[in-house]
Amino acid sequence: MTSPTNLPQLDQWLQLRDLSPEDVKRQFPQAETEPNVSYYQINPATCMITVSGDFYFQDGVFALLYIEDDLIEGAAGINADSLKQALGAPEHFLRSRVGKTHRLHMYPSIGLAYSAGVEGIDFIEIFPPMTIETYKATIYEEPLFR
Amino acid sequence: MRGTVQRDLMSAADWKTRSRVADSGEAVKGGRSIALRSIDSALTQYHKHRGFPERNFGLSAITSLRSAIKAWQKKKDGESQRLTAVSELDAEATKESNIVVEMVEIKKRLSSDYGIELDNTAGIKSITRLYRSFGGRKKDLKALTAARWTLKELQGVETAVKRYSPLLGDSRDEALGDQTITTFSRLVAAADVDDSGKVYVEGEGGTDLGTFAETFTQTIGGQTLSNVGVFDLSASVTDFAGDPHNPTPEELEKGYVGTITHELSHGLIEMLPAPADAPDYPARGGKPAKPVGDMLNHFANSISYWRRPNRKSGAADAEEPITGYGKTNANEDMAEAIMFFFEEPGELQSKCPQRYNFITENLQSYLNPDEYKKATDKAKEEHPELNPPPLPPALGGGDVAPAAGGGGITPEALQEGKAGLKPVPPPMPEGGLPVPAVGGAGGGITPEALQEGKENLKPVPEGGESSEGGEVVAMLEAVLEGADKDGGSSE
Repeated sequence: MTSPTNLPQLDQWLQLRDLSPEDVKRQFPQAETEPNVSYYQINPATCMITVSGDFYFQDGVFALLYIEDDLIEGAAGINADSLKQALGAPEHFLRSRVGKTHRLHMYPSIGLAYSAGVEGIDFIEIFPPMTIETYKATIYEEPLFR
Repeated sequence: MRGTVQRDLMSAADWKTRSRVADSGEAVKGGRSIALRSIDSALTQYHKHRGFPERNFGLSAITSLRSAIKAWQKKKDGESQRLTAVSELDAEATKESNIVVEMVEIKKRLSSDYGIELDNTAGIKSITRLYRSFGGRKKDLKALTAARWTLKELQGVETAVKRYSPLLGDSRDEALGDQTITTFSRLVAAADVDDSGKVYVEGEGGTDLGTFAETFTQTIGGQTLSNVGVFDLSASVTDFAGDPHNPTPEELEKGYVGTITHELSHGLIEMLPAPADAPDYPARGGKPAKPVGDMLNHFANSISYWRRPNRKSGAADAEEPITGYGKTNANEDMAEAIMFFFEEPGELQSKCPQRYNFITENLQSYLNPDEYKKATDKAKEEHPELNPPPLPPALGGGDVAPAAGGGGITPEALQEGKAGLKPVPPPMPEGGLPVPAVGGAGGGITPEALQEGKENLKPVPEGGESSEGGEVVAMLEAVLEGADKDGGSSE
């Protein structure tokens, strides 16, 4: 199998967005389902927690895969530099909810965003390819820092 | 001519006018013009008494004295105005000197009691290091400017710092490691990053000011920052204003102290070790359980609104943060909760019992006992229904009272280790780190300012008398004295 990003782990995450809730259950038998939750603007949603990340579905349709820092730390070859090298310069930057000195590196046309600061990557979001406007309108909540 | 005048004056003394002047003397303020008017009147009467028409004998003497009196009065009026101005300036200078001295005292106490230096250079360096590591260029940050502390601001800093006294200076437990905040800086504005990733100083190029204060504890290139930057905007915090468009000075002061208290949560609390018995992040969906490690993660794991510090749980029935800003992330939520714990504890307890309980159950030993008691007493006073007295042991009460106002704690949440009752960590042992050296560079108050302030501390002269004014009176009195010596010659 070819790796479009040259980062096998990243490609694997990107491919997970093709899964339906039933696929997730099959692929991750230990998955834990939380109905009626939200992920920022994705509301209401069903969250399926798995060892490869937390899936959010709306009406059975994939909305987002959230990969937290623990999984990133354990993923071979994934860091801010390797992501930048694999994906190129971000298409956009947005403020990150993690902090004023963290930024959301946006690749909406690929369907990926990651938050990073000086101390590394905070989280990765995988979602269907979309425009930055759609991302802002359907997923993102702009944080305010003071 | 001179003798004539003296004779007339000597006689004037017989009309008991002189004694009035003598009695009033220098000590009686405002009595001189009355005395002089009396002399003038006495001279006129004396003249009539002697049967001389005014235009005849003594007229020149009377005219001369009247002229002298008028001239003195004019001079005195001018002098009076000058003295008033001098007096006001002296009072202002004394007031300002006292302010400087008070500011220096606060600076000293921050250093000696809490191991915190006022150091504007440290703030500029911290921001520069952080934002340069973030892609900022030197020229993007050249507009960073130090500002001067005001007395009110320093009093606010001291009030907030005191709340965390067990974590500061000699009181800090060595086991906690180095003190995580060691400098405070007063700068005009903060740095920020725009959507394109460009670093800028707020207010430059028409950009908005958005940052009240900022805490720098990041580790960059092996060096850990330990600074709180306070910016001009901190004077405009309206969190506690009844009408945010028209806040009172007291409300703004509360907002200021609250903001510093908020920042110190970032700088002193987040990184503390979680209590030994803090529940792990639960194992879920095949992922193993994970120790929370620090206080911030313990907070995120305890509060139903959060799944992790940077991720909401998304649970529909989760207890909301005390402010909208607290929804940003768990760091801000905890900082806002601690701010409210001190500023509006009753409101925190009634609206956010999970957060109130988290503070009382996990942070008590890290907070100043008096300030902690003040806050919890205020909460009890405002919400007695949430703070029932503990049951006596005979009725089932134990050492650990039920969590006050524990609304929103479900059996499920307890099972998950959220919002559970945890005993307060034991008090820290005595002793601690040595106080950092006093006298760091860059603080707003220099030794010169101190010296200057001390030199300016002169008492304001009562009544505003000057030596020149005194000379005029002395001159007149000498004239009267001379009249006495020549007494009776005209009789």
